[in-house]
Amino acid sequence: MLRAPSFEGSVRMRSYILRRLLLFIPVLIGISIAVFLLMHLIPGNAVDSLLGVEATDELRAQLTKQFGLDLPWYRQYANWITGVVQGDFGNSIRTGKPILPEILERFKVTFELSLIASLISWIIAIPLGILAAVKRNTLLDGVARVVALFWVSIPNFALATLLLLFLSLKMNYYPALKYASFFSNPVENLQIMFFPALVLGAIMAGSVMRMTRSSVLEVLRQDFIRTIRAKGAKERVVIFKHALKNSFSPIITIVGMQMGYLLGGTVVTEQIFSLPGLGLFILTGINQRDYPVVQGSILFFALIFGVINLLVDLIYAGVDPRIQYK
Amino acid sequence: MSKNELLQIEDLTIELRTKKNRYNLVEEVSFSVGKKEVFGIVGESGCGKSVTAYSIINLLTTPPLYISRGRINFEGTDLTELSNTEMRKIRGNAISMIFQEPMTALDPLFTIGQQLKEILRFHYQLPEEVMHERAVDILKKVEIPRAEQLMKEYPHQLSGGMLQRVMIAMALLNKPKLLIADEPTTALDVTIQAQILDLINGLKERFDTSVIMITHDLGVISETCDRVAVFYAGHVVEVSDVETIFSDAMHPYTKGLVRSVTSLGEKRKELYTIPGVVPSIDTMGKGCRFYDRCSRKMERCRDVVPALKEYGRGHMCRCWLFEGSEHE
Amino acid sequence: MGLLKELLHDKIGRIGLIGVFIVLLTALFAPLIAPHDPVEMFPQLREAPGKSFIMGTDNFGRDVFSRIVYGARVSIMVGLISVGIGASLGIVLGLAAGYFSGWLDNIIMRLMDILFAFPSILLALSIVSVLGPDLQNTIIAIGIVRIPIFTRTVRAEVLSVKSQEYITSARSIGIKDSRIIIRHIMPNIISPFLVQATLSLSSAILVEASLSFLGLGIQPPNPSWGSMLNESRKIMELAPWTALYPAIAIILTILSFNLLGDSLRDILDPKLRNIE
Repeated sequence: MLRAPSFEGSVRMRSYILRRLLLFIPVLIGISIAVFLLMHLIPGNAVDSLLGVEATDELRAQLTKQFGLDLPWYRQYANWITGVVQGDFGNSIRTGKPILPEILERFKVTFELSLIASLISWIIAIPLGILAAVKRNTLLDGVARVVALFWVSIPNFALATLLLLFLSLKMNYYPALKYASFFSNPVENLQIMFFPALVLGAIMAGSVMRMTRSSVLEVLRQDFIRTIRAKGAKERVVIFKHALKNSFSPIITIVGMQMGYLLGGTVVTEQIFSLPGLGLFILTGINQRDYPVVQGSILFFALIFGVINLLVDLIYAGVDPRIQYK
Repeated sequence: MSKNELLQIEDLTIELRTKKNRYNLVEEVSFSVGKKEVFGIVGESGCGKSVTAYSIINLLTTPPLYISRGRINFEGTDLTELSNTEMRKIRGNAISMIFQEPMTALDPLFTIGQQLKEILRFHYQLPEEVMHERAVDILKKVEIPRAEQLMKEYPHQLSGGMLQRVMIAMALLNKPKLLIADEPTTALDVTIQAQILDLINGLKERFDTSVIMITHDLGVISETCDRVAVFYAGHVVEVSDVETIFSDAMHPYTKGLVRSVTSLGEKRKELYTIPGVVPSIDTMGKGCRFYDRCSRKMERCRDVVPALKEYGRGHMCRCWLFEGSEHE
Repeated sequence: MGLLKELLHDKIGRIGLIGVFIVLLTALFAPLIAPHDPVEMFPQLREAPGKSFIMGTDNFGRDVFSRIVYGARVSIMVGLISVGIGASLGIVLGLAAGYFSGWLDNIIMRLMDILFAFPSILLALSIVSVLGPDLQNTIIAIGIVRIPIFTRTVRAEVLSVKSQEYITSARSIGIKDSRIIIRHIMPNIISPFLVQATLSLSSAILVEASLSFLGLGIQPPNPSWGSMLNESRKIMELAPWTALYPAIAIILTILSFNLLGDSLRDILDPKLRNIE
């Protein structure tokens, strides 16, 4: 499906990648500023929540200085950002430990959860979406659309809670108490991950299916499909060779868009199933007013999101020859 | 069907079925196309000319369109009776079709070469080198420069005129007996238009291919066609050779059409136009569909549709003015 | 209105409309429908659904049914006001960006891009954590989250209408910009806006429920379906009805809005309406 670029093509590809990367940087800066400002509008700060109300002014001042909270906000931002660029995301106010290593550790969990959930949703949704588009207006299409619509309307925490309810009542299943990573114990890890990923993936499947269906329909309406039929093509060729390849880009867009939902969804799912992931980290960080943690984590999320978008753009360029000439 | 006839359409009726109603988009269409002939189909937008053309190779979207009656005879076979698989063998092979918008007619993700070879591949098993050679050859035959290089390019890199040439080349690859051209030059500049029409003109001699030329432009008809069928609101109202149509048309609509074109050259204060508008499909009466706009209408015209009759030397017309008094 | 008739005609639209109607009525007439005060704690803790408590009671002895009914009020209110905020700001920004273009457009769209870069739940989460978790801040947070999608939708419509000839000719004759906007551009925006508003409502209700579920939205003892679901987690096995009913309420409400929005989109989108 991907074309091997000619020399001329790979030069263009490189400049395209460069352009995209350069464009990404200002957005990233903007995000970091937004996150930073957001955190610093918190009424009542970390020091207070750490020490409690009774602490002396002296102690408070001492800690404030220690955490650098007495500096003007732009100085704090500068300090933070220079640290970030060098790989130092600062230390948690609560635990005093460096944040980045913990982020990375927890991200592995979130990543695995997202990956399995995505795979589940794609395997279900994309073929169904294509099928529904091809068999448009038949019974299959109608049923698929209603089911997908229904799925889209279920919030993940509702589904998760109901699932847990069902599992614990009928099957005596409880979320594991201790988390096992994939590399240490793959079988147990997959058992732990299965239901959370299922919940997340099933709900994503609804919207992926709907969007796949409408993209494929859109492609099938194009003029060139008529030309291909007029050439005497078998319907199979029309769909699998031409319609699908042209739907690839829109479907990738859909997949990319779902990443945003996914990242948000992991927060809730990790909370319900007690998975030690990045989402849960952010949540506890918020509850404890540990804003370096929240700042660093959200920035990290945004970074990942941006990288995914970049990858999506690159895949586009590999598939669609029109892109590079823009 | 006589020896010189390639395609004969008899009494073709195409129905549009909606949830509430059925309408005959096209009714009792009959005409025939000969070998080595350019046959024109002319009419205003929505008169059914494209729908008729699509039905020849069954490209109609069913539902909601259905061929409810009639026969399409091609080389001894009735195309309306063919299964989808059998029809597929004819499309792009014995009968090819090109469309109006060249810029969107090709898959943007495949090269020209790939799409040319594709039409060969759909019908024949040929080694790669042979297909490549034939593709380059046909590109040269339609006077495309740098044919070898063009094979590696993508549709968006070509101009409209060039793309239409490619479309024609592609349609000719399998040496079809019949090429259906649906408004092939409408989307092109006038200068390019002339080139493409020249190309099409040459087809009947160089490739032994007949052409059905669908257009709303009488000028195109006069430049390229040998014979022409005039459509109005889903009916064939007249069929004849081109000289007769321009000099000696029978049907009032045809006469009006010719007048409005030729009035361009005259020194008049106003252009001639046919008064009124084409009726919409759900408001048409029982009788002749041209009734409201006809300057020579009679009582009978309102109530009964005249039949399409031959009046000598292949000249057919659907009008009460000519049908004998044996019809009431 | 003809629109209403068409909606009712479509099976999906009909169900959606009825569902939305039921929820709206419940929210409006909550005090009349609910048999008990939603925060009142009765001695019957975790009682199964029965005659006195149709949907049972929760961990604190509160009537689940009454809480569901008042929860509808909360959801609708949060939904309507937050979407109202998001929509009005979004329309203004979208009109400005689309109509005036240039640097204004650039700035606005960059801002929207930054907002868009955050998944909506995370964004709402962050805003609420900054402002403090209560009803008002929840509404503001969700409202802000909704702004970019309205801005984009409106801007896209404005751009496509603006390029049409009758607008350029109106401008060249010297008709005031504000007049052009009001009389020519706005009517064209209504359809996609309506679809977007309905879908945003379902999304807003979803986010509110999620926030409350995480303990960062509506705080108990105020009834919110999300927080009800959260509280039920501890006693799920003993009293499954405390989880079941809020979950069903959330799902059906969001489903109704989605069905309605989907049906609206099918009806109002001219591209999808072809017979030929």
